[in-house]
Amino acid sequence: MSNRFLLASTSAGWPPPVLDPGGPYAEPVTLLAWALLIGGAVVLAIVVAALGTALFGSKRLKAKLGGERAIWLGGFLFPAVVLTGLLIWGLSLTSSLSPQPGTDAMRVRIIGEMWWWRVHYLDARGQEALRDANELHIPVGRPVLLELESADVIHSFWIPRLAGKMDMIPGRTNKLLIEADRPGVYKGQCAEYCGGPHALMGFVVVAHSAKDFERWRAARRPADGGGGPGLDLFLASGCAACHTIRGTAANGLAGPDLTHVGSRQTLGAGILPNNPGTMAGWIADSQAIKPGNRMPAYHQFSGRELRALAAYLRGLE
Amino acid sequence: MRAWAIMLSGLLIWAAHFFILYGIGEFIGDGFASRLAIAALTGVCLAICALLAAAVMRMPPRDFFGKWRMQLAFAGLGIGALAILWQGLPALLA
Amino acid sequence: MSSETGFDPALYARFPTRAPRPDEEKEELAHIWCAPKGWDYLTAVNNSYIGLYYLGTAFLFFLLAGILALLMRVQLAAPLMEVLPQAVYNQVFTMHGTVMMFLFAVPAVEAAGVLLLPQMLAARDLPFPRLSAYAFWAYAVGGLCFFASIFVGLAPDGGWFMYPPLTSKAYSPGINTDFWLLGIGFIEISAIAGAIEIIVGVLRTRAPGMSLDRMPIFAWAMLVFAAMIVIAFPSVILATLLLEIERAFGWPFFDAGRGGDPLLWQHLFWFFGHPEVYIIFLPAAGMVSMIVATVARTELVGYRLIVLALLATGFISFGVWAHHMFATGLPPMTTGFFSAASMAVSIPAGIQVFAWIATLAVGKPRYSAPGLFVIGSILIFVTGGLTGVMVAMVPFDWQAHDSYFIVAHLHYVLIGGMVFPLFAAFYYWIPSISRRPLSDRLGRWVFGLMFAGMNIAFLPMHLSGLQGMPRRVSTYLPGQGLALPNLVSTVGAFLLAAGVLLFLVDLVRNFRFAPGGGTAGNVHDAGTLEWLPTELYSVRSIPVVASREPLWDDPALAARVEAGRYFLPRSATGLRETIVTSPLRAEPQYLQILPGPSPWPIAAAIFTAGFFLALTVQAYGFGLASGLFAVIAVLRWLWESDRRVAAERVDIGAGIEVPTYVTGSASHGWWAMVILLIVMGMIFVMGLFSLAFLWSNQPSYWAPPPAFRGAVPILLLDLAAAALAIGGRRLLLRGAAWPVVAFVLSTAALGGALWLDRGQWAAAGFAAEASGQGAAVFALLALQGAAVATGALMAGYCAARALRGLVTRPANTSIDLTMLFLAYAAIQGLVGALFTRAVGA
Repeated sequence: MSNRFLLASTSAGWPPPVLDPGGPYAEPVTLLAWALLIGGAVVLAIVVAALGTALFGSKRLKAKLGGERAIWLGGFLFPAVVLTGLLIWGLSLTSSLSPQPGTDAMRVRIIGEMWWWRVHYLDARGQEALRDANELHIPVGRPVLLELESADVIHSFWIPRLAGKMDMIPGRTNKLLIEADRPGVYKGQCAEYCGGPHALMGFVVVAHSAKDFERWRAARRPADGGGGPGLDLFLASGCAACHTIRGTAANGLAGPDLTHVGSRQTLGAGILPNNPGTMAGWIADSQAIKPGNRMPAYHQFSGRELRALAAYLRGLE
Repeated sequence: MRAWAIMLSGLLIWAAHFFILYGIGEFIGDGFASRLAIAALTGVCLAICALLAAAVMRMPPRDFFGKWRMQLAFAGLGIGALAILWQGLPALLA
Repeated sequence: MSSETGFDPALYARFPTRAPRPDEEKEELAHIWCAPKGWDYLTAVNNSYIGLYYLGTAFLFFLLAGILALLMRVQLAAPLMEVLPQAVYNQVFTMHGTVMMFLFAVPAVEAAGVLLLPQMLAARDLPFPRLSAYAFWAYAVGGLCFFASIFVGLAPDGGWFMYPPLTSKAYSPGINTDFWLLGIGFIEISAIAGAIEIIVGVLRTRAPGMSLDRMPIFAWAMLVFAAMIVIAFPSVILATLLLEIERAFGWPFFDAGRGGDPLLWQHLFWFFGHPEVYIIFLPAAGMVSMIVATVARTELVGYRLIVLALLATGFISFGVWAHHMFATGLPPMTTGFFSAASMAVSIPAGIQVFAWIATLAVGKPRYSAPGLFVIGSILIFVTGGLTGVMVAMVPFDWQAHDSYFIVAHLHYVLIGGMVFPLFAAFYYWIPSISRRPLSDRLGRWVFGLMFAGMNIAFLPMHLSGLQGMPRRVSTYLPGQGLALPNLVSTVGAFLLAAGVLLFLVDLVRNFRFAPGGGTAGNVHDAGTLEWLPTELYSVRSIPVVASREPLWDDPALAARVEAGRYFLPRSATGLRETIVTSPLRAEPQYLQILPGPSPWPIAAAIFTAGFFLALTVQAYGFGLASGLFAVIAVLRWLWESDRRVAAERVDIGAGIEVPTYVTGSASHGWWAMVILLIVMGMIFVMGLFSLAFLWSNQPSYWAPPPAFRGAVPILLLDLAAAALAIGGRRLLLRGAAWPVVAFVLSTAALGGALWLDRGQWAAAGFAAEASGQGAAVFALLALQGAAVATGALMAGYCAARALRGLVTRPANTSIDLTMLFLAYAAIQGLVGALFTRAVGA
């Protein structure tokens, strides 16, 4: 099974994404994280040294440690001073990272579902301009304000290299700012346990240069209608009951919008690379890949039918 | 009851201060007036801590146990005051 | 020296007494407190037995949940493993967390308290032995049935904090979630029962002269622990009630589409859930303080600072709950309050750590197994504390939250703060209950394996968290660099398990339970009273305590205690009894008659378990019958209590006479009832908070409440109920029938007020299923209904006792306690009627 998951073969895990910021809403946190990690190691070293002195130190040093004065200094004064500084840093950073009203940011509404994501690009007036799923395209150098919602249970949106996480809670709209400094692919996954295949609910952010982003945006047109046998199968086999392909009769709303599925980086919500083989495999038996997801397995398709469907969907760019 | 109230005074003031602050944040909301009220309340609570600490210092210890309780109250006021001060910072910074 | 109760401290100078005590006294004590035989083990109520049963059961759950952890580590050893299917994995991690937190950690420290406190305070037993027995059996029966759900695939799978709406009927239609909610019901009951027992025990049954500043640190820790349970557990009791009601009857407390709010659950759960961590940690810290002093062979440095640290932790830990919710979109200022309190709570922890280091510096430490475990626990706990400071920083928490960094952090805190101290305590205290101490040589190996295993298992998790691995994932994709740290973690987990296995070997080889004397004795040369020679009746005579380490300061103490030269060298009444002392200075006040073995606590526990389990599987008829039998069993065990003995005053040693029956606010029963009422009050306050929270967060679903003027007759009836309760108690002077009649009328007035209140809400068009507001209001009314029903039951109980001539005059405890309860119910009804009408008016 594992050879199907070749998606994330490039990154070696170091530096860890949290310590490898890709934009201005992650960078100050990385600095804070390093300060905390190093500071924590230093404090641990001090405690170990104090403990070592208490156990093995000279009489003179032991005498210095063995009294209420040492407790006041080590247990009260020292943490009081250090923590006051940290608290001030943390509070001001919290406020500077929180979305302020009136930011000139691109707006996207992302709705968590069991176990994938709806992505609605909004225009300047907040009207829905484009629908997609499981993948977000952004221009570099421009803040993007995400309006995070949930359609069922609580999920949490987390792209470690771009920002900290923010929960998606039914009945609320939480706001999160992200911004990428450089073009590239930034991965993340749902961080709040949401039952079933929570472990396989990934997400991808693709950052483009401003020019490329405009080009990408302009290419998001409805399908041209000519789909051949693939589209016929799609419409005849019930796929259209759950999926929309704009420009065709497929207008189901339960599952991800597939109008541009061929151009996505991944399938199955951030878990499979997008190629003809994985596309056919997902259609035939997504339950074996992502147990419990809401799409039934389609064992009834012949190999030829699967290839036709996959080829059609791969062509939807 | 009185003995416990004196022993725990610093922590009791912290608790009252904290839950009022939380109540303001949850039920009244963030705003200039809220933040001003929080700052004022923090100042008042710190002043009460200082006054109580001075009063506790002046109480004549009746015996070792009495003195021990006074020391506990005094140190508790110290920790309470530090926590109250921190508790008020978000109104200025966050 | 000054006095608290009018007792003259100069009387202590009469001890040790001179005249030799006859041996028959000792034989009589042994006879009264004799060991159970055969089936009697089930009816035992003595703390030596219940404490050990309790601890053994808790440890069994530690092993079971540990096995679940190993299963998870195998599944996560490599990417995309298929050892545990996803659905099973989700049950396994939920059970691991739930069992460790609810069925192991809290009961284990509570058990240690039950087992050690009476001996440490030189009391004969805890003040409510049958309550302890009931708490234990309810926990054991319920816990084991709950755990069994995993063998039939019905275990809960929503994570140990069970966030709705994932756990609401729509997304968890099976009964798995109900198992969790009702399974937790047992532990809530047993925790509250244990807390009442421990608070009254620590404050009222200390050896004479053991003023608060001479109390062993462990007793201080258990006192704060129990007080925290009283404040924190009501929140989770209410939360579980509300979620079960939402699942069973569709009242939308947490349903955002109908005016509920999923975040309400998070507030209620974490208001309990974070203090819970300190509830677990404080007793363990108390154990460390005791053990450090002994292994360092010197008195604890900074005793008063440690006491302050325990108290401060108890308070400040109630201001940190929302740091579990930093990523839920709380406004920055609010997160700031919780961030600040989370920093503040680390100060007392720092004080304790440096006090332990200072104590080690002053003394000459022995590197025995308990010493090693204590030193290891300090190192691990400090590491967990430092990562705790990190995640208290809101921006860092946004990254670390719900990732493996948190998994690492919480295991460092809990293993360093609770598991290692517990193992230290095993090696330290087992000689006081076993004929043989555990092997120190094996103990060092156990320590080495556990310490290495713990760090190898959990240190890499900090990295995997920063690499982006969320917690609660049944698998992970390759190519993210997660394979290596996870494999290392798995290896570490098995090393840790090997250490625990070796401990089991040691336990089997060397543990020989010897509750009736013949223990290994004071092998560590400790200074506190639990190391006095004891039998099932605890110490032969109850010493006058003049310092914190009486055994160090008075080497002859043990022999004199054993010779019966202090308080209560015999049974003064021929019954089980202990001295009740005053809360601050521990001056003798009266002799409490303790109840003996009884089958009714275990019967009540089994029927309680039957009640909850039957509800889970929706066998409502059987459940109702079980509940009824449980109530009958409780009343039956109570029936034998609150009796006077012939001798009104008895000599408890050296000619000092105390009464054998005390009523009013000085009695232990009064104290227990007040604590119970605080629990009920907290449940109610959390209910009021829920209503206000929904109003504040879901204003669009709010409808104007009924008018205030409708509340006037409700208030009048409630005030009348309170007046009848208080006046009824006074009328006991005139005859036992008077208070009974007054109580019945009081209950009727309470019921009438509730009826009016409910009617006004219904008439105003509110329904419990219709909106969050309706659900919250009717939940408050239901709570009041439960209070009125309980009050009616108590009034009926008083009537039955009056008919059988069991109501003593001029004062009687059963009458006192019923009065307190009815007066409380009246206040609750009154406050509820006003508050519900005020929110959103």
